[in-house]
Amino acid sequence: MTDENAEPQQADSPNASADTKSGQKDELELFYDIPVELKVLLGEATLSIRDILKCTKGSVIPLNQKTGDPFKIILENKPLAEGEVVEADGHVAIKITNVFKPQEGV
Amino acid sequence: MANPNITAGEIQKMISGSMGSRHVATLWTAETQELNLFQTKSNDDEKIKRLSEHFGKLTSELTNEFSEGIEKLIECKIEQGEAKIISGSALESSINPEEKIGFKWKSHDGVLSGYYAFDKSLFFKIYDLLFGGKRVFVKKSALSSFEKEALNKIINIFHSALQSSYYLIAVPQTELQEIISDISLIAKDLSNSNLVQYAYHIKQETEALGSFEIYFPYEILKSFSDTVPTTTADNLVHDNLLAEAVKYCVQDVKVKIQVELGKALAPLKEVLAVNSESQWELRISENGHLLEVFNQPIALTSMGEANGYRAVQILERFNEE
Repeated sequence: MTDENAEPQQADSPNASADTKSGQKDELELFYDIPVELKVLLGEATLSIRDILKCTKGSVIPLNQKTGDPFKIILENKPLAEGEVVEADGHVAIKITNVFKPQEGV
Repeated sequence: MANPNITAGEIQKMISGSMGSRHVATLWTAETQELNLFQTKSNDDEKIKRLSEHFGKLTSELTNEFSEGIEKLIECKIEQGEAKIISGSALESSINPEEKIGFKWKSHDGVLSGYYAFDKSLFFKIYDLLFGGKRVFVKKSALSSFEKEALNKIINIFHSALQSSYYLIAVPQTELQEIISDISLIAKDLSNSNLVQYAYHIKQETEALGSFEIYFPYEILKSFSDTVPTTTADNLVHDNLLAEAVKYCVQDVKVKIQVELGKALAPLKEVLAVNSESQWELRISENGHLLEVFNQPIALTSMGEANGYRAVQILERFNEE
């Protein structure tokens, strides 16, 4: 048996080096193909509940982000990264420009 | 319009979950505390009897103190205790003028700024309810810091007159008699109001003198007087008023809103390996961008710009009447 046949997926594993060191399979490997929904934020703002309740059709709410700022990408309510909107193969796409460290981007 | 989901029941829960009756007891005089009224082995009747004796002694002492004449001044510290909102009709039905000893409240400059009163029957109803009674005056535990902050905002208008914690109280005997005779009239007037009841505690530097309560007509609180519900059930009135008051004040709470540009779907494998080269197709809704508060969509918006910043304009409010 060759090495390639032994663990063919490891080359693609995001934790490949760790797996190799520990000699164990990544326990998430089973879920690798599951699609995960990422929320891309246009922006955020802080408002009082009173102001929010006052908002009606036509109200304008300024956000905290400047027009040129990157867009924050949220995974399960946690900031994951930020990126820019690009066009790729005729589609709109989000291209990552910065990956947040834990607690960053909150 | 979206309804802030704060119910009277939740308010009750917040109150009951904050401070226990023992803490409330500490708000009364030091002498009261020495009675060990809050030992669970004593039954309520015994507690009330002992407190009755204590309160009779206390009011007697204070009456003597005040009745010596207008020259008799007591410089004391007024500490705010707890506040609550009650209905005037409840006050009227609860007060026996014969048992009430009241004083006018004066500040340094002698301007009459309110009435305060020791009311024996009221006191015991409150005390009774400390132990789970269900009469008109539902005595709640001391306000939580949140409620205190909320109610303080409402009653700030009164506090402008009470900013200094030291006041001179002068009550001549003649005036005292006059006030006692006026109590029923006062109660009648107040019965048409909803009231904010504020408890204060009088202390000298080293000695507690007692507690008193001030009733402010609720109508003065114009900022939200139109939110006062009309109902005949006193407890319900009380709870609703408190709920309304807190609901009003809680609207000052600031929350973060988020506006969604769109969504991307990525395999978990790619998410785990996210890096500056990652790129995923972005699905942008053609109908508009969701504005969310704590993941709760509240409006559909269109994207725009204001002074160099991103901005959104509301296209549709959800749950708006």
